[in-house]
Amino acid sequence: MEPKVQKNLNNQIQATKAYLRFCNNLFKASSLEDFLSLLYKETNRQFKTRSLVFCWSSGHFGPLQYICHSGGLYKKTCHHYKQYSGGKAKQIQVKREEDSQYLMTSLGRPVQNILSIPIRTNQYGKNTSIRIFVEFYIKNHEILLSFYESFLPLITKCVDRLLWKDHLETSIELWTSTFNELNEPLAIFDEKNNLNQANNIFNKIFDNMDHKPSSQPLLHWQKRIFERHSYFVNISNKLGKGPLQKPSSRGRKKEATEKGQPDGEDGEKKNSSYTVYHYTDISESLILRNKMIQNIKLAALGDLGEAIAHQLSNPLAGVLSMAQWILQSSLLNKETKKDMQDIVEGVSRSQEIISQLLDFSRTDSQLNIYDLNEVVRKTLPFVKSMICFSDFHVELYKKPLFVNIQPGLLKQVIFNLLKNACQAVAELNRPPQQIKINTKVEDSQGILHVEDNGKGIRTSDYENVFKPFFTTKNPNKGTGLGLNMSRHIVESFKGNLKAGRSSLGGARFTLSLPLEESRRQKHDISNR
Amino acid sequence: MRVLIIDDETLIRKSLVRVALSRGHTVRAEKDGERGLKTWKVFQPHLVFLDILMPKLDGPSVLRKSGKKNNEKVIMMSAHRAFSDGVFVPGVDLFVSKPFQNVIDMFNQAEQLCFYDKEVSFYTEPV
Repeated sequence: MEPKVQKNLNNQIQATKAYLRFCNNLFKASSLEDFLSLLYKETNRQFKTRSLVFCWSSGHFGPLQYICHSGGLYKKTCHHYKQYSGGKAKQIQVKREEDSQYLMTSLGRPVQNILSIPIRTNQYGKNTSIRIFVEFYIKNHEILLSFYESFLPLITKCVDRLLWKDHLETSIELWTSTFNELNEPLAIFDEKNNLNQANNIFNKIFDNMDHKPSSQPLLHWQKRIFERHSYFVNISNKLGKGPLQKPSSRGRKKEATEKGQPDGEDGEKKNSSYTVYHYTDISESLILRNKMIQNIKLAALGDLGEAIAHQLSNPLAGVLSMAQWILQSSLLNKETKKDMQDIVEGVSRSQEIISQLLDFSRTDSQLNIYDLNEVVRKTLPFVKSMICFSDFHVELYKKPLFVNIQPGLLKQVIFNLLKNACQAVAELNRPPQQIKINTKVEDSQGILHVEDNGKGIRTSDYENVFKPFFTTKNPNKGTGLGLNMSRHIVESFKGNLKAGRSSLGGARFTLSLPLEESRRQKHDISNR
Repeated sequence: MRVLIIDDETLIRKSLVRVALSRGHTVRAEKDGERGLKTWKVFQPHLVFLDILMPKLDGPSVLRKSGKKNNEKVIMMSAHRAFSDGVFVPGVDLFVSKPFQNVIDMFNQAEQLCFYDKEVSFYTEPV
């Protein structure tokens, strides 16, 4: 063979090898950056290219994503701007100032001769706009265009695949970060009860365990309460577990798999069942539910109160009448007479308690003007039995303090504060056990202080004590909901409830309510 | 005079009976409205102590069905708070809220009604 012919043949062989190598590399490209790098190298091998810019968007007016290759420099940015119109490859001038500015910023210098090549993908998004911008040195850009057009089918397939991969990876990343950052424990277990996936909080609570969580319906963790839900997810396995099926010559009958489980004529799929465990945070809804139950109880007590009072009052009235009758008899000796007087006294006291209980449980649904001092006075009888061993000091403001409230609810609040004070001083094993309650005026506010000489509250807990389920008491003595609800009630009256330190050495709770003008109609609390 | 006591509470009945007997009156006592009504028609009392809330027939129904022909005095009683401010029932001469402050004083007042012709009054004894 002549040397010239030999040389041409060698060149052709080299070119073909290079072409095959390029095709092979395109198929292996694992990212859009890889793809652009390959294209840049190949273009530069044959022509002089200053830079390649690959851009795409998922809609006509969607954000443009860019990858730029300029001598090995990769940049990926997003930008909104109008697409270059026209579906054909052509030389373009960057006329629009903002486009020119943008490309200059991305590439680090002004751009001039650009070939714009649209890519039409078959599968990735019908409205997807994809282009390659090639910046070139050579005089005749037609050769460059011809080169790209010869590779267009390959490039199109590669771009399609990579865009889908990019899209999937973005979605997976989004899903994974959302899954992990969820504020409620979530985990997926496979059909053998092995852990498949769990989010951060689940791993934190269950200490990275890999077996199914216990069947307890409620989970308590860091003062939150979670309710366990589990449900099955069926996942269809379209590929099956055996090797790929060879199509039969007749086109209908299918061969059995290696495992001896033939597919049906329609191609039955194998299903696997996963279990999802989701712990929903019910702390807030529990509080609301408890509030609702409390309200219902109060309402029921109010409704039943009248009937119950009658059922109790009637027999007591009978006892009292009979005792009065017996007392007036001259046949009684001194001692028996005294006993009968005690009976009369006891019954009278019982009647008084029934009356006060009715007063206490009655809740008016509307706000009205009441004297704060009177509300305190009406609450005290219910507390006195708790504080019989304490030094209990009451100091009420000399004038009425008119506030706009629902007296039944405010009584509940005052009762709760006094009950807490009693429990605090009860923990003191040595006298004196002191509780003080006083009212006053300060900055047009009616102020109520409840103080004790118990162990007090830490400064860091002054706000924490009003949080739901926060309690420093023995579990049998409180649910930790009283102060939270008390504050809600006071705030509903446009007032405030705060915790602090008492001069007695223990805790001090300060309730403040805006004062109403005294000449507005006030309601007599004695009938409420 | 003839005194009729209609009340489902045993000790109320007994105490009123004792007081009435001690004054030399003839007394009948019934524990429900139905029996009370029957006795009322036969016994024809001068003074009736009538509870409001009773099984079978309540006080106001007994009073309405009795007709109240013989100018008898009717003392209506109740322990229910709903009636603590008094209740207007045609034919009632005196309303008393239970428990009575003093059963003997209350009976005295009721007795006075029979001796003096008074208009209906609404009287409640504070608890």
